[in-house]
Amino acid sequence: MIPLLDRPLVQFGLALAAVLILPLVMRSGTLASEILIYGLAVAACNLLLGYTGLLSFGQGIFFGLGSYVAGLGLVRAGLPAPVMLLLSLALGALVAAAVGWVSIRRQGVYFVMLTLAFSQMFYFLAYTFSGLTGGDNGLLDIPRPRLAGTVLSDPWTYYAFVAVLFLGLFAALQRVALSTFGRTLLAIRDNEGRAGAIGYPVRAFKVAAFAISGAVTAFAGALHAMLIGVAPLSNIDYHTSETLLIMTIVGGSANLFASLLGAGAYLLAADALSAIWPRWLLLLGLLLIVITLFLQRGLWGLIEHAVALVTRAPPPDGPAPDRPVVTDPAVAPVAEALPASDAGRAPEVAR
Amino acid sequence: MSAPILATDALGVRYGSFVALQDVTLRIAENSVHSIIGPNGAGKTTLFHALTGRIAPSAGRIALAGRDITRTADHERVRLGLARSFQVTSLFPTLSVRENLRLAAQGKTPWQALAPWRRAEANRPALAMAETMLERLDLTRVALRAAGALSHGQQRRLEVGMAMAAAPKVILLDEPTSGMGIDDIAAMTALIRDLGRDHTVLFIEHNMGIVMNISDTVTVMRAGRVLVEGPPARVRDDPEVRRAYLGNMITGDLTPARAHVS
Amino acid sequence: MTYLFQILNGLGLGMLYFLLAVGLSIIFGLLQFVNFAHGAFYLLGAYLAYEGVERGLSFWVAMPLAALVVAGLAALTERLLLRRVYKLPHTFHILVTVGLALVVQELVIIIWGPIGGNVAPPEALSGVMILGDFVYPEYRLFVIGFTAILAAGLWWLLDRTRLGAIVRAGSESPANMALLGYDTLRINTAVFALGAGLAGLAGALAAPIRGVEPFMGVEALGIAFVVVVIGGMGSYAGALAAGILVGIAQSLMATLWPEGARLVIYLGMAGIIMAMPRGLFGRA
Repeated sequence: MIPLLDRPLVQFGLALAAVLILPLVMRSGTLASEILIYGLAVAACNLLLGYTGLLSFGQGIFFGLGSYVAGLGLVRAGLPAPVMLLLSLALGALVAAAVGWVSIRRQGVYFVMLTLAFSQMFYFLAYTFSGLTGGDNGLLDIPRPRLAGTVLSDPWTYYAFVAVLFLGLFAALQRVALSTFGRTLLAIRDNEGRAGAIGYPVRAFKVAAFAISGAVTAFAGALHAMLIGVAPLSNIDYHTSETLLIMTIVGGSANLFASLLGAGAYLLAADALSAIWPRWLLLLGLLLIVITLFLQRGLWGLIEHAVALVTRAPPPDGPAPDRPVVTDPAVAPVAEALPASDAGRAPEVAR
Repeated sequence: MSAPILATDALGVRYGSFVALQDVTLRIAENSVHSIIGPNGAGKTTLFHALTGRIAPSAGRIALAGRDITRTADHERVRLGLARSFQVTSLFPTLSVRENLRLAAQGKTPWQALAPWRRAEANRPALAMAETMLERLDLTRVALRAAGALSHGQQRRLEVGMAMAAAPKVILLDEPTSGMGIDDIAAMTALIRDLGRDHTVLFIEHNMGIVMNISDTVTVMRAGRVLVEGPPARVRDDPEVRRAYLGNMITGDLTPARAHVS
Repeated sequence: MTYLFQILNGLGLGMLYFLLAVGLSIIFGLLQFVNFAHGAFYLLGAYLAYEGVERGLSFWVAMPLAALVVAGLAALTERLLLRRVYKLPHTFHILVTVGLALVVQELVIIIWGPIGGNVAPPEALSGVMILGDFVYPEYRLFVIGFTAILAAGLWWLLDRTRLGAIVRAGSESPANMALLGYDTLRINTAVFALGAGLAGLAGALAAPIRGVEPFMGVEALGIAFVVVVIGGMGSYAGALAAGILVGIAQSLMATLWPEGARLVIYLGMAGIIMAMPRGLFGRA
């Protein structure tokens, strides 16, 4: 009864397939690794946007933080990579919980503006303390991790390393999304006031969602710094936050695989277009406008429609029995897509 | 009379200089059906907001089962056994009916739900409660449907069911029949009457037929104060209430009640 | 004396921030619409003034013209595009205006190049004012005076005119406006154009002070958000007070700790939000 494409095993299968297919069809192992790394960060962003209904413009903070933590630990302290990855996870959770805790004091648009202002604050923090972060130049000479005595310097070897971690964290995020916690997040997204009224400490849930999202994002940031050998200032700036958010919406916030889709589509398009035309961001801007007007469920929505055409079934919009379908909060309530069987259905309006 | 399950002492709420509620003292007896009536703007919903902790009272005290909850957070009051339904239907519209009820039942143990590794199915009591409620509300047939896609009558029943699913000591219903058709009203009336057997029900209602039919006690409010309180028959015949209601400030009809209450 | 200098600088800067923030605030107030393209209108205003002066127009013509053109373009955008997305959730307001901002920024780079340029202050104000041993650029004094007059005019517009009454009523309850029989569509366009025009004007006024470059829009957007967050959304007095506060803080920090100037602004914002979640003048 759960729409086929939304079943957890199918979702994981799609992610696994993507991980296996990328090396077959792509020439650059670096770009392929980047897709998985951003895929993780975007899935984490989706946990906030799609599952909790929180549009955070601060995801770049955690991504950049992860990069710096990895860089500082590996370059300055000479700690091993696994330790730094775990540390980025922990610090990401900590900082995200703090940013989240302050930001959720306001709701809606104010919340969005606060996260954006925090993203600027952390950017200037990194910019100002250039002794630690390398400022404009970034933290240089970050080594690739070492595994069984060999440095993973070959792009595809590093890809394999990233791929294993990606699948592990993707499964973990799936578990979170399906857990009693994740399902309560959906309730908060749907109707925060009622979630509070039936007993949930809504703020604690939001902060926890932030912490998990921040941890995964920082982890991705650490992997990214090891990939490119630098922890650049740009990893913590406004544009990283913006890009992660755009990838999330482009992919569609309905499920976690859509996030990998969004990251992949964005990075591949950026790679191809930027080679042809340096002002490709103009096209990206136009694309965002087109998505807003015509493709509100993102690329995943397109896939659902394609599958529906092939199987001649209507696109899955309804709730599933045990696991409610994660519907894009940004789209009109499902109610409108479903026929009401009982006559005289009155709209939910205050008098 | 045994100690009241829910009590307020000289409760007051002000918004700036506007006094929304003043000197409201209530004693709600356990396992009784207690209704609050009064014209629009009498402070009924404000009273509910204060009782459930949505707004902080500016004066007075609230006690639940002898325990002072005047300053207790709203979600904490749910755990202590106070649940409410809303005048304007407030559900999780994209989630299934069953999931709505499961979430409401799980709201009793909210911190447990904070565990991101724990499966929802692990909370068997909540699952069982959701099933029980589906049957009691006659919603089993539509258990898998999105709550937002239900008919209005079904949504109102689910709205009340959400409050019941927390297995509260006291259940507060804010105009449970608002906007309902005649058949749905009958079903809702039966449901509330049934609820009164094993719960304490405090409800706001404009339909006098229902109020006079199923209430053990009726409190009449006007302009933020308690005007009269007593059994339905006495309240109905109270001259002050008659006067207040002749001003046509209330919807509903006083007459049908006579046939039922003797 | 350096402090007086910096405080005056900060006042001018702050008044420009006020223009930016109040535009953002009234658009949000009436349309419940977060305009992430607000910085792009500021950017456009600056570049149009730059272009006008480059083509030999007097700054006195180029500056108001830039603001008017920005307002016109904003009205057009509102009618052709934004009107279609009001009903969508905030996510899409943000997405579409982020897209718009990218398009404007890239167009600016295509037309004027990535380097940017300088705008000479108008001839009459290119000198300095000397008062004892205190020396101050005349153009900056003009900005302070001019924006103060503008702020007063704006207050009059919002507080004393019918348009202002409509905007305020609409912010309280958008549904009321339609009930009252106002042509909401045209009012929406007008208010959006006014808000964007103010951003454009701020850009044009800022151009002779800070020059023009393609990324000034993003920076301005961040500052406008900070001012609105500190001042309290929807509050005219809040935007004014917070704008000046941020401007002066930034300007003073520029002498005390130049690298950390902007950091301090954002830290201050975080502090104020912790203490007063609704901002200095925010309503419930």
